[in-house]
Amino acid sequence: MNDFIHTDTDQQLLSLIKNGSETAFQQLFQRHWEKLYTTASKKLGDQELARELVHDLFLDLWRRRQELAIMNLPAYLGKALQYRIINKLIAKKDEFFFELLDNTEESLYKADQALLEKDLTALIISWAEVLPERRRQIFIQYYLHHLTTQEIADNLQLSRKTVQNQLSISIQDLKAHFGHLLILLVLLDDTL
Amino acid sequence: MYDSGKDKQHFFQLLARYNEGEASPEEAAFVEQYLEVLDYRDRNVLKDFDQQKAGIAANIQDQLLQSIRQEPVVRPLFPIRRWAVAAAAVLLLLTGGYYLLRQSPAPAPPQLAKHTDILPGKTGAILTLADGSDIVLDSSQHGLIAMQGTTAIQLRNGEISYKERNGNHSKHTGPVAYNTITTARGRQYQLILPDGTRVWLNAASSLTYPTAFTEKERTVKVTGEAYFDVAANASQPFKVIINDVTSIHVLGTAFNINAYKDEATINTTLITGAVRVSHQETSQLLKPGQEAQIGQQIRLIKEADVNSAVAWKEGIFAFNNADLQTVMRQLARWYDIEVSYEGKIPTATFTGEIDKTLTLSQVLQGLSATSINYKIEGKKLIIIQH
Repeated sequence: MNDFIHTDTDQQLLSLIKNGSETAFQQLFQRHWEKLYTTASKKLGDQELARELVHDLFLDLWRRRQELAIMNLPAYLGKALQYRIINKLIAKKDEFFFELLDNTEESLYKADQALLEKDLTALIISWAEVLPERRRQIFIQYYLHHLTTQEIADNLQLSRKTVQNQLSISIQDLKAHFGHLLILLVLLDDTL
Repeated sequence: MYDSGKDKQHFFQLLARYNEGEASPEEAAFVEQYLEVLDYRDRNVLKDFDQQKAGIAANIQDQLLQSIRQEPVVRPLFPIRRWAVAAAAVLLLLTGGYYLLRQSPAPAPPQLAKHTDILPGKTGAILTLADGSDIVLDSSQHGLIAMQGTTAIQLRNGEISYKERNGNHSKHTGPVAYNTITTARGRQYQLILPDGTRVWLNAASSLTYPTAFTEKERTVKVTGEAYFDVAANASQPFKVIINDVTSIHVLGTAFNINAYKDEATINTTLITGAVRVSHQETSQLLKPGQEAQIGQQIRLIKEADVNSAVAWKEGIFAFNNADLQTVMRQLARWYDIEVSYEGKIPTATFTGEIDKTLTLSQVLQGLSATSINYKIEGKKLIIIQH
């Protein structure tokens, strides 16, 4: 019997579940839990939360088995997982994003994390794009404070004076660590 | 350091909008990008996963089987400290015949209810200055918003606070001005009084207070519902006057007052410290965990349902064997709706929690799965009993 169910498609399992089959439900769980669990663990940084989330997700699937019409189960599970992960982030006021912004100069750029650097830069740019106008300017200014005016000037081929005037920041304030975020400036300088 | 308070608010609102399917393409792109980057947060989180895998799977599966066989599940109300984590869960249990248990709504097509749905309340209030002028407080302002004599009123991260700006002195000089904060239905607000006392003001409520506490007692007036976390100051007792007739004397403590006119009694629930509730000729000393229900007389509840009393402040409606009308009075104030009943009022009682960030239709979906039928006409919710 088990062997038979094993070869069933998700769709067949789902229709068995609709009729109340716990065995089919367990098969479905066995088939899909791991990906959901590891994804949730990584994104929440917490296995305990991931366990709770995966439990709740499958429980919800069971409870609503009569009303759900799932065409593509992996897609459905992925979407439901994402929804629950985001809800968890909101519920626990997860501030990893802001830790990320605050710590860019320390941990993240030291090691050779080329991939992350690219991702992070893209993330910061898209964040700047979704901020309201005034907040965007403040945010960008904040990041620019980490650049030396000379570096900015070199990269933009402007005079240092122009840059200083434009940014109205003093040299003493500036740190030299943020050369790699120049791309941010180049892409966003028209908003200043 | 970069002050990111407002950005944080924006960030979480954006996540919520994404989940509701209301994010713009740019916002959605950001959230999706962020979800990718989240994978980097802790590379060690799954360090021993391969060894533990079988155990974890068995554990979740066992729990799941238990959960589905135990239907209907009566989950205990979460203790207060867990509420932040549980905020996304919706749980409404109807005892006696019907039950309902909803987790956060599934990723159903969100645009479905977009135009007809009634959104939950949010942060916001109106500040009335001593001269009678009104200032609308919303999350868009920042910094100094007004001066009252030598007192500066500042708004930071959507929270109002008072500060003396009298040259080098921190002492207030000149006449004391009175300010009033009023929340409409569907709004709540949080503020810090000049003495450092924190007040959470629920929907359809008001708080009147001096901009500097120069009297022997620190006296404020409240209507509606408010939670106080009073800054300790033994030499200057704190006093709350409720609806102009009842008063509470405080030394340094946290408590909730529910004094809505449409509720049967004024309820004062003490969380920590000690307060004395006075009403007409009588008075009652409260210990933590106790509640005074003030009608004609004061009735002492020795083991109060503290969780339900202060849940609103944590972003949750919590009910413990509440009747339908009690549930609806709270919904009416938060969703700014009018509730009426067609036919007999259903006698069911409710136990459980509802997340206050849900839209009205999400909350009502829960009800319709029970025997409660309803229809919505504009801002009117009509409960129908056949």
